[in-house]
Amino acid sequence: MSTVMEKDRQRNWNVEGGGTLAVDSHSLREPLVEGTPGMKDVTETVSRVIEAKPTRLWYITVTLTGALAAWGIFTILYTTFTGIGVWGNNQPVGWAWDITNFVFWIGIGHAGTLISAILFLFRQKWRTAINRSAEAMTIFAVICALIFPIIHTGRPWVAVYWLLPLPNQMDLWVNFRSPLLWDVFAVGTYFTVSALFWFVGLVPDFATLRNRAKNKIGKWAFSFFSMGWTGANRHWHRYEKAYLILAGISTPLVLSVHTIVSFDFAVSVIPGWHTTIFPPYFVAGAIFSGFGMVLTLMIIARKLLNLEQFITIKHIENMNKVLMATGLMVGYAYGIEFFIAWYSGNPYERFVFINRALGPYGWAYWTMVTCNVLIPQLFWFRKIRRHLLITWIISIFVNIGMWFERFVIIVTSLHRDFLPSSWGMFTPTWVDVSIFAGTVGLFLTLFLVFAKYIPVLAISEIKGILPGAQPKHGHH
Amino acid sequence: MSDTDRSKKTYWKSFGELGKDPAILEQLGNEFPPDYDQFGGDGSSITRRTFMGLMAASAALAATGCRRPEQEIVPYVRKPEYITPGISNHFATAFTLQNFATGLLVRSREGRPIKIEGNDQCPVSAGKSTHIAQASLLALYDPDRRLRPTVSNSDSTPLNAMRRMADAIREVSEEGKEVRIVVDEHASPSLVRLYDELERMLPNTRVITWPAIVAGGAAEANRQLFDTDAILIPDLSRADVILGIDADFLGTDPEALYHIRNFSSRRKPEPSSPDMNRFYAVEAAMTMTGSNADERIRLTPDAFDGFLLGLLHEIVVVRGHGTVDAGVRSALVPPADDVLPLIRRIAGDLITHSSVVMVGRHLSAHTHALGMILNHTLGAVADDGIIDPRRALPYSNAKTMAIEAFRREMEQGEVGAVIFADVNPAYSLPADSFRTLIANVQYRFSLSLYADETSKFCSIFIPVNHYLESWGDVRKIDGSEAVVQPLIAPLNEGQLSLGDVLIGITRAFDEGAFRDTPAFYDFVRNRWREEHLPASGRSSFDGFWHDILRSGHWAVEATGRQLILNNKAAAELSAQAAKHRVTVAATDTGTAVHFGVFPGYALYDGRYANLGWLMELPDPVTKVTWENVAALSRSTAMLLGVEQGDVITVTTGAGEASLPVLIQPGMADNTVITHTGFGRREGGRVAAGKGSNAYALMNGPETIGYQSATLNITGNKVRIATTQDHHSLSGDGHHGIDRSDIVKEGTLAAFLSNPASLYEKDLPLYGTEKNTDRPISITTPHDYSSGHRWGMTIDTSACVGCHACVTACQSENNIPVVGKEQVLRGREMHWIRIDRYYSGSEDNPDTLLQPMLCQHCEKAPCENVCPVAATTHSPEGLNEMTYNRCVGTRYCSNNCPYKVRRFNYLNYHKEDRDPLGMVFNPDVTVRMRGVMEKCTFCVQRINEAKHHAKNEGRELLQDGEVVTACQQACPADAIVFGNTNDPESAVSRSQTTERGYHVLRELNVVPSITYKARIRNTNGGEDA
Repeated sequence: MSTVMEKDRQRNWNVEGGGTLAVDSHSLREPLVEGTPGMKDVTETVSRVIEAKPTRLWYITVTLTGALAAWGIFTILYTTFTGIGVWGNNQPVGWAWDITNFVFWIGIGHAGTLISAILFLFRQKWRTAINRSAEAMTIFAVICALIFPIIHTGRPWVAVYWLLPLPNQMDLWVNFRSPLLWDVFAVGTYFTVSALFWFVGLVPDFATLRNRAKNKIGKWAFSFFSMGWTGANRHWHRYEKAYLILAGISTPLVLSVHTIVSFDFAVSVIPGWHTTIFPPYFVAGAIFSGFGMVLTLMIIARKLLNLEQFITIKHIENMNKVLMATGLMVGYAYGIEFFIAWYSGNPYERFVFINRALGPYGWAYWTMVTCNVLIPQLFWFRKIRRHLLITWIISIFVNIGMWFERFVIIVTSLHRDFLPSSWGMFTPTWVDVSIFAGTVGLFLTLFLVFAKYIPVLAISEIKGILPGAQPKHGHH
Repeated sequence: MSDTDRSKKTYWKSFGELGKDPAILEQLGNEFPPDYDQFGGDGSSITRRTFMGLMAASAALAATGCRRPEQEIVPYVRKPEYITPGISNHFATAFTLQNFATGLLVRSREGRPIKIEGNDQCPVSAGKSTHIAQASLLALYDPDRRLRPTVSNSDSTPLNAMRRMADAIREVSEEGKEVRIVVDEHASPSLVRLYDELERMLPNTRVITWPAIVAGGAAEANRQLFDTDAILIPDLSRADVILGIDADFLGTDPEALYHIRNFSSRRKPEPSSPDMNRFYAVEAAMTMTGSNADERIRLTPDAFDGFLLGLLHEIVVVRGHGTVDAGVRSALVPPADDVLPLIRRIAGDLITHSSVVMVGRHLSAHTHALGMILNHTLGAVADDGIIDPRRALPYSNAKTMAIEAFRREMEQGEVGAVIFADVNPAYSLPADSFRTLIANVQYRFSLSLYADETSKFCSIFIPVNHYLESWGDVRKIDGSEAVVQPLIAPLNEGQLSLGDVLIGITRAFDEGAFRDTPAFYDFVRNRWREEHLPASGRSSFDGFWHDILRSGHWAVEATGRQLILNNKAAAELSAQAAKHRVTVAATDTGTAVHFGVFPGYALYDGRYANLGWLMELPDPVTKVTWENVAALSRSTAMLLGVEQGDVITVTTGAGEASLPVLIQPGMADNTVITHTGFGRREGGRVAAGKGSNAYALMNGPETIGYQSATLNITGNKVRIATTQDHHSLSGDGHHGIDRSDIVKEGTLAAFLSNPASLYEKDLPLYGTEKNTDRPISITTPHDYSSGHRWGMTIDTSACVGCHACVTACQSENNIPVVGKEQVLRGREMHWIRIDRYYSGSEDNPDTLLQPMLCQHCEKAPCENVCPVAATTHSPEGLNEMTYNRCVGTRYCSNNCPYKVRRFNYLNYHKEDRDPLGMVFNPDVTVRMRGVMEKCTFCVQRINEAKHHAKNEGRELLQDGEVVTACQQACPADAIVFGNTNDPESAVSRSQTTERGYHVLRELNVVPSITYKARIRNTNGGEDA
């Protein structure tokens, strides 16, 4: 064990003790880590969370969120045993909260991949403080998302494997022309790669925890998951290559997953769905919603887990900038949809968009516009970008707004399509609400368990951006 | 009960003695009488069957330990003739709705009837059938039918029940009181004869015909004017111009099937054959008939007489057309200025064409008289004319006098025993009124298909057979006759038909009665032998009978006396009409309106209210299911201060009813209507508690029509289960977007001068190559160069919106009934629906109908989005649905531009109770929950026809070999189906129409269904 520690120290030059190196005075940028923690402080801060006994607050919270998740699972079972009829879905609104929730959760996941992959490739060092938890969020969000395509089917017990291209004695094959099948592949790939990426990043940190673990279970678990990591140069070399490759693989996924999810709608003939702007619009929206959720969780986590040092106001501000940029993109998409609806001369298309804004679901549309376009404009002000409480409130609005965006796209397009004879309205039932609440509960439970038992910060990466950690390069 | 009776009852034992009894005779064929069955009279006792079952089970358990007891099934040792598993048999029979009868051909599989069709040999139905006839099949298998008679609320046997009824008759007659048998209107000559016999054989007995729906105006007018006490049935195929006065002859009139056929035969104009009739509808309520008018005139109910008098004045006095008696002439009044141009226009049209005036059957005799005088003046009343004395509803004489007399008898306590035979006055009369009536009647008995409201008031109830289990006969409007033959032995073993029970009661009263005809079957045969055998020229009755059963039709030279107008009566009635003033009296408590009660379209008089197929059939006008509403115009609603769904209380002199408000375009102001058939309290789980009983509002003897009523707002609000809202194609709710290209319509004149005028509003075809006008596609087109290519045409000009196709489809394709809650959620399952759009002003809109079903698109948007390929294209152009493969993503439904796919949100067949499962078509899968379904173009019928063709060594089917269920039922012949690969097929020829269009053509999904534009033959001239 000591050898590992030795090597850790060697790798990180000799900055033992912390605080011996001054903040890079040449840099006008804000430091990514506040104060002057040493390498050991980083390890200590992060590991302490895991090694300490769970607090009463943690227990209470996890019980509440767990109960919510259990209620969600119960209502899912109720749906499965009774039929989709317990939801509000109908003719013509075949999809409603189910697919809204699916797209919502998939979108949430996007920030994690963006932070871990794209920002990594662009050498955005500020990502290190948030990438671990953002990635975790991605995985949990995708788990929540994956529930819906399965349970929204009328016969999930067969859908769960008939949607996969499994060879069978009946020579029945899936339909490769269907965007839903593309979804299966896209989301499946996304989940696999995200999980791998996350896990690979965790290996050195698991090793650190293994080295510190005092109890048997911890020791065994961390040994298992650290996969024999010794911190050898060769390990580090391969680790970094693998990480880079996975980042490379993940990068197109950031764009592809939501592009393909958007195909569910864009490939159809329904006005309001059949729109070529959907792929970029969905990707921007996904990143927007993902960052919204990262902020919501991170602002709380940094406080509760005493990570203010590492997740600084600068991080928050950077994320707010991303939020504003993607919010503007989304706003642009809203605008251009209306323009094209008018410009195309297609009366059905035109109707759908006017109906969105002025029809019976106008309230949902204006909620969406307010939350996604108007409120994020506050981030033009630096003070607000750096104000924790306001940021947190705005992030909640973004979450709400992005949920409504999917609701608006799905329900308002379906409820009045071509033939007025088949127009209808959608009203959710208690089961619809319960299942969504259940996935929120599941998401939070998973996140709480993660925050307690897995390093919320990438210990090794943080060390790499400590002030003076890379003296030759100055600070980037 | 005398001592001799008692001994007779107790001590019979031999079969010889039993054989005298019709009930037992009926049961002789069965090994065990029904009371021998497992439901012991006292529930606790172990019956023979239970005992045997228990013994067998114990023996099996003892012999095999823990293994399941073995149960053998045995195939036919001797196969019954005609029955081949998997092959349908068709049997001819007949259906009666009040006194209108049509021939049926019922499809039977493995001995059970599964589908009702019209008999194409029947001159009245010509192979067509109504929604009610279609749905009557469901009543056969209705689990809510009672299995056994009840005597004083405890189970009994038919024999015992009939004996007790005979005893009661004896007792009552000995006291010098009257016995009355109340029967429904019917069309059966044998029943007429039976009723005569009953009156003769039973003491102090009279048979009273008292249907739920009583409307005597037409028969009364005919009686006075022509001395012909019957409702005459015009032949609309001969009429060039039709004027309807609040007449729902295409909708709720029982003979609508016949009228639709004739009316629509003249509604299919092409440039090559521009013939088309013209229909003016004058009406207060928006009816299905009015929605088919070329010109609809909205009047309040009090204005009909004035309108007709004005029209007669214009025709007779102003134009000098025809002659009327001076007495009539003096009653005529010139029309008011506001309707004068209208009346001039209509008058000009009527006198220059072969015309007929139809008067709503709920209107009073003097209104009918004006209509008949007008018809007479126009020359419509003549032998071989539009109104031919030989064509009348059988036994449609005015019954109100007899009913009134009977009521008086009952009130005065002269009646000692009443048998309610197939009638339900406890429902069809205001509740108080019924209670008062029966208060002085000692014995009340009920014979009915269901244990209904009336049987609750009766000491003895005997369930009787469904018509598909009974023998009988009918007379049709043209005088021809048909035999009602049972398709199946009574499902409830030993149960008797109405005729059998009545004969049984008589025989229980007097052993010697009906000695030759102890069963109604013999009675019917006897009548046919006596009345028709001589005319047939056949020597053997059995051969003759056999042929009648086979063809289901026996033409009888119809007789009818020449109609000569009684001028005195005409003058009297006209004067009466001129004097007649309808006043709507306002009270301090509520708003007064003309309140109309009309037969429900789907449920009619309420007899079949327990049939889910009818309960869930949308009303053709309001699209409401599962309940009745108070329909009124928007301005009336504003006047009352109510909105859609507000519950109001309607109060008349007779009673009150609570109804939700439905704002219906086209309603005359200050006029509110509702429908009968709802508000049942007994009679089955489906019927009970749906809507309100509209009969409670009618003082009688007429049970339909207008009267003054006051409305009060209750403050409650409900959601009305409609399958469609009042959608127009432009205007409110459309944000200035016009969709009128969805339905094509035009006037006859514009169409004939330029057929392309129909397509002026077409949207450009997206994705079209400029040079070729051929739609671009990235997929290779399907190859239909050989074999079949199925296609359909639907003529929206001929379609009147009768919904027969909807019920036919539901019956053929095992479509579930989902219930009101599910309809409210928008989950009704009908594969074909009649889309209804309004255009023009809300006060008096034009109605456009468009039957909508799966279009079987060539480039179906549903097909490519299904991830598991559960919906695919067949080599014959069908869009097929593989239920087994469907996982239920509903993506196909979302992507369907026509929204014709239906998803099983819940397990809708789970609630089906025995023997409801027997109604299913065995050729069609019953779908489970979680599966998408939709119109298949009746692929099971295509495959069946192909099997036959293959047996005969043919590759291709002949034209007309496959008929879809909707096409088969359609009385308007608006639907044509067939192989479009064959240029000579009916559908190919139908597709070449100048009126053809594809709905949503611009989407380039290339539907297989060609619609034909709606043409209105409007009167272009201001004053023709």
